[in-house]
Amino acid sequence: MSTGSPSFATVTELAHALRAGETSAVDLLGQTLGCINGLNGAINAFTDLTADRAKGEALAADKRLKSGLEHTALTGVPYGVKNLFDIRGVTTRAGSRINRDNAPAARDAFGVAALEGAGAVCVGALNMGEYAYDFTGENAHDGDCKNPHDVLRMAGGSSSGPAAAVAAGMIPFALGTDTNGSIRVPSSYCGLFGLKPTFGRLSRAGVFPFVASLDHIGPIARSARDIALVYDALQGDDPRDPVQGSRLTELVSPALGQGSDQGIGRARVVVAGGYFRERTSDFADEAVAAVAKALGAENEVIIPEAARARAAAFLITASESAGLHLQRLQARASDFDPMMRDRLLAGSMIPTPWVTQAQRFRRWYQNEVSALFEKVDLIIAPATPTVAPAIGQSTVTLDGVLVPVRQAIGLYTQPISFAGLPAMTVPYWGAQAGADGHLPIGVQLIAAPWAESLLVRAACYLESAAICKALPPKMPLQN
Amino acid sequence: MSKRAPDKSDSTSVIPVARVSAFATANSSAFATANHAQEMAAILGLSIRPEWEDSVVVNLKLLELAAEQVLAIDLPDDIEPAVVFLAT
Repeated sequence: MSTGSPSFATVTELAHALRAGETSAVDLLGQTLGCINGLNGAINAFTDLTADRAKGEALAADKRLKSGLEHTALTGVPYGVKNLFDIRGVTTRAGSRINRDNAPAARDAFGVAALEGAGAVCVGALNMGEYAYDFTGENAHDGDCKNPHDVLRMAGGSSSGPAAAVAAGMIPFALGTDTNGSIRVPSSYCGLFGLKPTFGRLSRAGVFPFVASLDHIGPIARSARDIALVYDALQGDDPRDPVQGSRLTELVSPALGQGSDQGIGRARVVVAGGYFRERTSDFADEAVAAVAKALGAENEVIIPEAARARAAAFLITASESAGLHLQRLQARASDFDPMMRDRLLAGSMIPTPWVTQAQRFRRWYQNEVSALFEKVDLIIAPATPTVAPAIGQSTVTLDGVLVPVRQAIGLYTQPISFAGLPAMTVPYWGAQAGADGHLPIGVQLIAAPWAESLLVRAACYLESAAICKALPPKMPLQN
Repeated sequence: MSKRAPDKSDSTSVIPVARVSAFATANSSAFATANHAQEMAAILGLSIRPEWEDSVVVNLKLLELAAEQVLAIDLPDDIEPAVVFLAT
């Protein structure tokens, strides 16, 4: 691996190399920063680099590794975070023009602090859709984030930079956020593993909010095992997040690799029918069928009222986000991305009974969906209707009907996060993997609340069976 | 397991472009109109420039359609909103 070239080593492989003395955290950091410098002009994934901090963390990691002090699988491993995570000393721009006038963050977000505690090396902050209200990865202020598998395509949003940076081989993992699909969508478009945990599982403290009653944080990576390692490091009780559930830490990585089937042989696996079988592209259908076959899913389950759930999520999202941004809308409306601004302006005018009914429906829907998990353990659904659309594309044809692309992207993710269920995107390439112009698509694995372990084990099984895998970009990327 | 045709009763999951483009001028409701947007903006201390109006009205119409779908379900009176608050 030459200095500055992309690396597609997993966290596990990097940890092995670091422990074996084949490389050092400082050398790995130099390689990573060189790669970012070489590729970011083409991908536009990073908005801020934290080289000085990273150097200090890398030196500390090397000291721990060489002296035999306590360390983890993440010690010395570089990563980045969506630029709505607070990084001390860095202004948290949240994809906006307005927030970059704020003072630098005084302390790290819980997730960043947790990864520092695990010895990981924070190299910078990553591009995103403005204020996370986005599924495309397009950004009027920082420029559009490009899909490394085809730089003319969307990376997906709103965690565009995290997905693009990991897919391009700049970093092995990144942290994103997911309110209605913002981890799962870019993971689908960029061919990666992405975990949205149970609502309330991981602390969101120090993360600029979007919709408080729907926001989650989670990891994006190139392997299921790496997802497990990062997720484990992010667990922990944090009184700064008022909705974090009172749950003990439940490590998922130790359960990986136990048995050839990752211990999922007895899991009752089904495919989401009805709404989740409508408007899909042929390739999304193929991906779901391949994952279903590999996991032995022969039956369908109907998630009740999924369309209404999406409508309710839409109302709550518009209302809460408009309330959050009201003062900014009053003072600096013209400094928003125009599409974002007009959505927020409309959202500020929603009658209260509509939102109350949406929140009441959410309670009803949660009860109905929870009942499903008395009979099933794992549900398979598409992550996105199609592969990544072109940057700037405004419409897409689904089932023969031309529809706005921004409405279509979150079709299958929104009803799942609305119920707070943990869900993981796994990447599918199919038989055309490696062919010119061929792009990946994601499949969602969905489980009962707090069953992240099952998701990660199922994803690990699919990866080991070569059904789902993250692949490097076919064409070399250049600035 | 087979692909399904979209449920005709699901009118708002994705709305055809042809229908969306008509929202700005349809005046099909009292909610999604430029007049209503301007009145609400005045109440909220917001300014909507004339060139923003069509887009705001389209967004109001999308919200109204979502609300129609959400309001159409009868829920038992004892179903509480899912907003989270825990006394500590």
